[in-house]
Amino acid sequence: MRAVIARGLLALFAIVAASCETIPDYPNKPLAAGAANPPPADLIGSDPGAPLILIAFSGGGSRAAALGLGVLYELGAHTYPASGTPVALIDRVKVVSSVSGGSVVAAWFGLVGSTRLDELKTDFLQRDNMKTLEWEAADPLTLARLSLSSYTRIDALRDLLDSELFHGAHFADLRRPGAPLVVMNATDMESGEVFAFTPQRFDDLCSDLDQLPLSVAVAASAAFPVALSPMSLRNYSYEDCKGAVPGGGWIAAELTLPLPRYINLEEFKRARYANALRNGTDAYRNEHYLHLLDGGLVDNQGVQSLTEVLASPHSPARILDAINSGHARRIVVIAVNARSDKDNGVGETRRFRNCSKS
Amino acid sequence: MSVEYLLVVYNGDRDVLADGDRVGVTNHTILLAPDEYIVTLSGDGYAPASADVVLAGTSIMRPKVVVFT
Repeated sequence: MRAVIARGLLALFAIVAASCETIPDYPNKPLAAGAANPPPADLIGSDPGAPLILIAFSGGGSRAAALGLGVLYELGAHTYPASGTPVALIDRVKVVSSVSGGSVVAAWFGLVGSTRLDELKTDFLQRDNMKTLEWEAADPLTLARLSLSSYTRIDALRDLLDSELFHGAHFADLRRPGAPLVVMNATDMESGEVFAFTPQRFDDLCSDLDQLPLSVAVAASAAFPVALSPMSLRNYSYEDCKGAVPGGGWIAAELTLPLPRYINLEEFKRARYANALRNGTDAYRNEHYLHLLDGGLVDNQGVQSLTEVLASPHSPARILDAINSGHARRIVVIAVNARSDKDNGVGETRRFRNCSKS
Repeated sequence: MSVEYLLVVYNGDRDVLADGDRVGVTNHTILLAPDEYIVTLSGDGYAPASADVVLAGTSIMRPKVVVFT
């Protein structure tokens, strides 16, 4: 009997000791030495007259996800007259940029395409996920993990997304034939910049995007401040692969030429941010770790990343090159904004006194 | 965001690179964001080796013209 009790106590001690570990287990892994993340597959295709559709799904919780799903249904119901047989517009969606709730539908669409959209509705949107999170939060085991280990509220959301919807899918699973480029957006707490989960950005971190679970990006994109803790990533450019990742030539040009900062400030800032993430020369800030919050803090519509994919000469999507070379002649940009515009009564309030209004 | 127009003239078909990235082809008007670019061509055997191009204030009728020989 004593031996059983002793073993039990020992096991309990081991569990507590293990759970007291406070160094977080970062979800992103480093790139192999000298490697870069593979660029997206060819998005353009062989028919220059086929429409190339780019969509931005805004934030707005489950309302945004439901609206995004509705837009995809509509694109699936309409066709354009291609040579031979008509093609559904949804099959010409080649880039999806998203924020927060919109990232749920963007990631799901990128993962399964047009054929299994209904599962998003039945497996996720129609369920009361907040209730599930509340039950999880009330679970003694969860409470113990939250209070004794590095497990945080954003990890709980990540785990919910993974168990209910994504089932262990990674960014590598987005590399199916005909899949769109999915760009989920969060906000970098340190710099206030948009942090897009793209191969290019993960090159800056010297980190392997393919190995990252989709649920991590969706949770980071939806990490509403205070309610949820930030999603933390490790920047391996500050460790053993400084300067090893290729593809940063435009950054040096943008930062060393005299005029870019006066002509195109946004592009200059993008280069400056990428240089800091790469631990480059004269980096304007140090980012050994990234702490990511809801993308809506900077751009709740996800159009900034969409514009970058469309118009930047350095985007691995190569759309600008396709336009200039005559390989893409019809570009359609759809911004899906789930903002509700209800009258909130503020305009009828005469003045605010401390916490009350009169 | 505005759009600028660049025309790179060369006696032959070459890719046009801006800061090392392909953005179009020679002798066809290229759309680019306003900025300062180091413009080069694919391959070698042309001169000058590169051109420092400031793209601002152009129009479709009056693109910035860069000549390589």
